[in-house]
This record gives sequence, structure tokens and C-alpha cells, in this order.
Amino acid sequence: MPIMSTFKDKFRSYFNNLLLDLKDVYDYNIISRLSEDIKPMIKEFKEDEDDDSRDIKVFFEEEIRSILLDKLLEIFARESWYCISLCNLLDATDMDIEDILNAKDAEILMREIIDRIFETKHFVDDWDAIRYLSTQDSSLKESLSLASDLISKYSLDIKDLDSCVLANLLYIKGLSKYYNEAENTIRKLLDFKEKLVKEVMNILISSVNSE
Amino acid sequence: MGTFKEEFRKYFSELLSDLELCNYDIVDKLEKDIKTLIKERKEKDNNEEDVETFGSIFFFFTGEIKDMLLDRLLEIFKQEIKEYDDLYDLFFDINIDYEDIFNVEDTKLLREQIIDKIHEHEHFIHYRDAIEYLSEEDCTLQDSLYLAYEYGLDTKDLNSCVLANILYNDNLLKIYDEAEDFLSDLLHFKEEIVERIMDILISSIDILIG
Repeated sequence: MPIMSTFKDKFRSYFNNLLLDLKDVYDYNIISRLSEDIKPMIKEFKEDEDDDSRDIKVFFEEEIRSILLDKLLEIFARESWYCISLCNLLDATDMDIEDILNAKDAEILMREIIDRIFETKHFVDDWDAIRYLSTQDSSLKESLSLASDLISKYSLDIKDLDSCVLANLLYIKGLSKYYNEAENTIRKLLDFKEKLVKEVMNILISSVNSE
Repeated sequence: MGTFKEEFRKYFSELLSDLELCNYDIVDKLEKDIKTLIKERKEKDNNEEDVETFGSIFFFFTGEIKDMLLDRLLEIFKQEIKEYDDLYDLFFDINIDYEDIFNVEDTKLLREQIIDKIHEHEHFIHYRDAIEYLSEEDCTLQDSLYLAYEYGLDTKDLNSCVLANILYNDNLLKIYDEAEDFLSDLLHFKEEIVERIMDILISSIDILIG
């Protein structure tokens, strides 16, 4: 078996074992372990065969990065189960945890979620709308109060309202509540991903460059 | 031998048992019978001393006999309204006494009174009941919101009870509008039959006494 393949197999196995210890989003312990373990492995590889740094870099940047992201997806999914608001928000905005994981920028993601919330026309059927209102706001006070802002903003009259408008306003308010509760969690997840991936890739690539 | 009043009371009571809504047959019968009754009475009076005075007969007809007629008409009035389900429910809802309507002399005033009572009526006092009613009767909420708009209400004045009551009372007004002709006919019949019967009775007093 070629040395390169042996190294990849060996490192893949090592990295998968390392990730077993990655338990939650606050755990950066694998960084220090990786940092210690990577040097002897790279050294050993380079002693055995001609240096092919580019191939190793590609392996790290693609395959290993992908393994790390898969593991993070698993952790994010578990974290989202602990945050009901996040689950509800993702469900209502037709997004999933992968969209959070793949977000390039937290601000862009949060903007996207807000846009989706306000584009939401969850209720288009009168009967569904009135059933929702009867369970969530039987006095109609809250939905009418929300409608009051809409009326003054767009110079409307109360005759322009209907049960779907009232139900959607209330629903959006509910989503906004989920948004406020989930925002912190989403930012923490993205922050963790960014730091961890950056640190891990730095360690791996710099190990190739230095040795 | 009974007095004229006793005999007439008995005769009139039997006559009233044949009274039907919008049927004036008893007026014709009374007009025909009263002459015979007076004739028989005059023959008896020639042999007896208990001759009735004009005043006594007048107050008998305009008091006791008129009351008998009105009681019988009220009975018919109640029966007719009971058979008109929507109107019966309307009066029950807004707590209207049949006698108040029966005794009204001006139908325009009656309309105003009933409309005022409908507007004051608060059928829904619990949000849960109100929203259930709205779900069944106006699931878009457009009708109740439009009525609220017409009444000049603002969102801050509204809740499910207010909307449900507006809609409910609007239905009561529709029921009343539909029933108004029926009520007018009842009151018109009452007015006319009382007037015609009292005319016959009062004009007969002179013959009876003279």
C-alpha cells in the first residue's frame, strides 16, 4: 500500500477517534490534543516518502474538513433539540440546521431569518386562521393591538382586516419571540464552528508547512 | 234570574273563545246579538226593579268587558309570538315583556325601544364563547370588523366579545326587521277590533237604558 494512502487511513482513523471526544459546542479540548499529535505523524510520513505537501493539504482541506463539519452538524442538531425556540424557528422559516452550519456569516444568516419571518404568510385559510386565534388569543386583544400598528403605518381601516391578517400578525410575533430566544444559540453555534474549524485547519496546514 | 252584567259577561266570554287573529267575525256576531240581548233585557226589566244606569253600563263595558277583550288578545298575541321562533328568541334574548309591546300605542316608538334594547344587549361576556361564535358565524371576521368600522369603533375599543356582540345584535336587528310587519299586523288587529267592539257596545247603551 502506498505511503500516502497509509497516512490518510491512519490520520482519518486518528481524527475520527479525536472527534469522539468532541462532546458539545463549548469543547475546544481537541485543539490542544491535535496540536500535540499532528507533528509526529507528519514527521513520520515525511521521513518515509518524498514530501507531497500539496496532496496532504488537499486531503486536510477537503476530506478532513468535511469529517469535522459532519461532526459539527451532529453536535448542532443535538444542540437544536435542547433549544425549542430554535426548532420552532427553523420549522416555521422552512430552514434546517444545515443552513445554520453552512452560513458564511452570522449577520447574513440572521438577516435571512428575519426576511423569512416577515415573508411568512402562514395562514391563507380563514378557518385555520380563526382556529389559531381562538387558541392563542381568544380575546383578540393582542392581534388587534398588533393590527393597530399596521393600520397607522399603512393608513388602513379596521374593515381592511380579516382573520388571516390577524392570525399572521400573531404568528409573526410568535416567530419573533422564537427569534429573540434562539438568536443567542445560533450565534454561539456559528462562533464555535468558525473558531474550531479555523483552529483545526490552521494546525493541520501549518504542520504540513513547518515540517 | 241573573243581572244583565252577569248574562253579558257569560255571553262575551263565549264570544271571545271564537276570537282568532285577523278575523273580525265576532264583531259581526256581537253587532247582531247585542240587539237581541237588549230586547230580552228590556222585557225582563219591565218586571224587575234592578234597572241599570247609563254610567254603570258604560263603566262595565269600558272597564271589565274591555279588559276581558284585551286579556284574550294578549293571550292570542303571546301564542302567535311563541310560534314565530326567531321573534320569540329575540324577545327572550333582550328580555322584553310581551305586555310592554302589546300595550304600545306607537309602532315607531316600539321600533326605537327594541333597537335600543338590542344595542344595549350583551350576549357574550366570555372571550371563549365569543370567539367560538365568531368562528361559526364569521370565520373571516370581515362582517364583524366591517360593522365595527360602521359604528366608528377603533382597534383599541375591540375584543372578541365586542365583535361577537356587534355581529349577534346585527342578526337580532335583521330578525326584528323581518318580523316588524308581523308585529304591526298584530298591533293593528288589536287596535281595530277593540275600537269596533267598543263602538258597538257604547252605542248600544242608549238603546238599553232608553
